[in-house]
Amino acid sequence: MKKVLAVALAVVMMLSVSVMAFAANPITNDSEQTETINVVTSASAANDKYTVSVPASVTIPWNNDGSSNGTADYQVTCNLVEGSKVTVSAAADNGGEMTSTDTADTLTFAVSGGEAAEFAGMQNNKNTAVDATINSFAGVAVGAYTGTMTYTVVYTPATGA
Amino acid sequence: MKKVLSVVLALTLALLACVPAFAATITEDTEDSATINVYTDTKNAEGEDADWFIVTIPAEVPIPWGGTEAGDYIEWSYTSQLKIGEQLEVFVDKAAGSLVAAEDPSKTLAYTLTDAPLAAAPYESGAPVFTTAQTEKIGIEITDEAWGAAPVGVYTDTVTFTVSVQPIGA
Repeated sequence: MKKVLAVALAVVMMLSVSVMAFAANPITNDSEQTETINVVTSASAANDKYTVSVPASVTIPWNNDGSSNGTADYQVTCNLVEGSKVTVSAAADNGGEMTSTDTADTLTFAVSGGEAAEFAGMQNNKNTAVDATINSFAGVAVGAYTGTMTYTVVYTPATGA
Repeated sequence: MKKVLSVVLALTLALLACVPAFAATITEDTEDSATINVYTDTKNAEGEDADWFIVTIPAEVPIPWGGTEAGDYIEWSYTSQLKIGEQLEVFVDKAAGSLVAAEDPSKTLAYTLTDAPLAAAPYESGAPVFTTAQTEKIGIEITDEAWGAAPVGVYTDTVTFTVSVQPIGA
């Protein structure tokens, strides 16, 4: 019982000597009565957020007299620590080939404006214009042809962040 | 009043449940790419159907008296860019007829049309797209006896073409 009490008293004594981290310049009755401190946020790439919004689909009107295009714009919203960046690109898949059922005819579309673009810092719905264009519909039976395009996002975190 | 309120509330709830077509999004929590479909519309930018065809028929077919040595024909042609699975169907209204003298309607000159597509067996283009003109001929035959029996003059008749777009294999 005495041993238990001794250990308990020792623990209490240890806790009581734990001291708080004091400010560098404590305010006392002998010092200036005001002290200014800094409030500082910390941030790292772990706090980076981004959203790239792309269209659900793109429709290109038919044009017997020449080229036609559909809008394929994307928007970027991001909040990135200094040094981080997001790179967005868009490209046609399979060479832009478009096919349809019940015909061997094909069409080809090309993407313009899809070159890699970098975004950094804070962006709010930053729009990038992208088009999917068919240069010619000649010699192809009129119909609903389908192809695909892919948007790719590469996130590069700040070095050491 | 309660019924009105309940209907209003029900409508409000229905409207709230209507959701717009969302775009795909790529974030730090998702896959780093998104693939979307690119479609063609079958209408042009003005909202008009994009398929078309042109069938060219002569306004008049002149036949020299006694007929042409190499034969007389109604020559017609077409180009088209129809929808997938469609074709042109063309037929004329007669396989034979009588040319009527302008100065004396009692005088006629009988003729037959050879290779004439009729309603029961129309000409079918067989495919939706012909970018270069496709030419067809319908022969006009007048026998030597008919020529010999008819007073020389100007005789006329009409041939009516009917064109339609039909499914292939229908």
